[in-house]
Amino acid sequence: VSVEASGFEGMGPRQDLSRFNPSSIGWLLPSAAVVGGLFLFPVCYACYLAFTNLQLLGPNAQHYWFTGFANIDRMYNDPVFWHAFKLTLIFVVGSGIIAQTVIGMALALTMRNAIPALRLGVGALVILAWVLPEISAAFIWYAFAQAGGTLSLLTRQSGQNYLASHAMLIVSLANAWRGCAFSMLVFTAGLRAVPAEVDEAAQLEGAAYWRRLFSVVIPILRPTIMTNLLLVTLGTLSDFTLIFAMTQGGPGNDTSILPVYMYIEAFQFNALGYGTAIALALIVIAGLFSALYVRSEMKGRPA
Amino acid sequence: VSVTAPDLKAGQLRALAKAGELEETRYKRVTAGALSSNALLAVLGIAFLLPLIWVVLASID
Repeated sequence: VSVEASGFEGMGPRQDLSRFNPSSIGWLLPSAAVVGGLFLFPVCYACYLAFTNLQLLGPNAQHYWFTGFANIDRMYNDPVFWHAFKLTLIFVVGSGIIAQTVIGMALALTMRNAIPALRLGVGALVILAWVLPEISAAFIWYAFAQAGGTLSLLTRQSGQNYLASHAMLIVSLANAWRGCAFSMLVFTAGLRAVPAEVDEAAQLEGAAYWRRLFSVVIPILRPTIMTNLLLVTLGTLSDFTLIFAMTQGGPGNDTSILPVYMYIEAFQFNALGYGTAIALALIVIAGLFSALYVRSEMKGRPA
Repeated sequence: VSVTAPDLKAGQLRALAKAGELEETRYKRVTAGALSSNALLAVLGIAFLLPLIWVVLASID
């Protein structure tokens, strides 16, 4: 399309065509070196290590070599890996996607109409759970769920160690307890962007609270919800400290989600190559979740 | 008589009310929705507080 035909005559030649100057590549080199050296090289090196027999200690610690798809094959035939994979999905969906998002949304919604003292008190508690160091949160939940802890006293079973009998449930609750504040803050900011007139108009039309919530508020909040889901999923997928400090993946392999299993293989069984292969699988899972959310978000956008 | 507050001054409103010509509409200060919303928030607050109790008590023991 010529300049004349496009209706932009009189505005001169397009400026954006001549903006790129090959000599400017030199100015990009320092930042390219930093990104390449600190990000691309470690990632590529980790990808390479996933296909080697590198060990932390032992005969292959110094002299390791490329073993092709041996680690992938081992992973495919490893029942503990598939058990960890299943636990990771349960943990991410149950604790991250459902619990954190639903409780975070409930907190944000109820705080809108709450009396100030209650809003301040509960808000401070929720934020406190979030800002606590992960190791402190792990200790709090360890104490809460152990025999003689608050949970066993509340259920009148003082000898019951819930961390042994319901380990996955307890670590999932601990993760949700710690992460709800993030979702609450995201949704609180999102709810402020919902125009009051739209809600009032629906109210005048006679829509009840739940109808307004599901047909007005949540559709408007959709981009916020998707962003929250993406961040919560990625955060929960990489969760390690909380679970390892509470159970070390046990009892047995009951709480051994993929990051914990990866650590156990790499640093306790010294199989760094295999551990790196598990890390690659984790990256692939995170990528799949991200693609799913981005695709869903793009679908919801007006053309 | 149906009036809105900006039309009349307080004294005039009082006079109308005395004469029984004013229909008073009382809005509920506490609604079921607000009550249940606050109750739910309180329950969530207690749920967030419970794990902290043991540690708080143990630290001052």
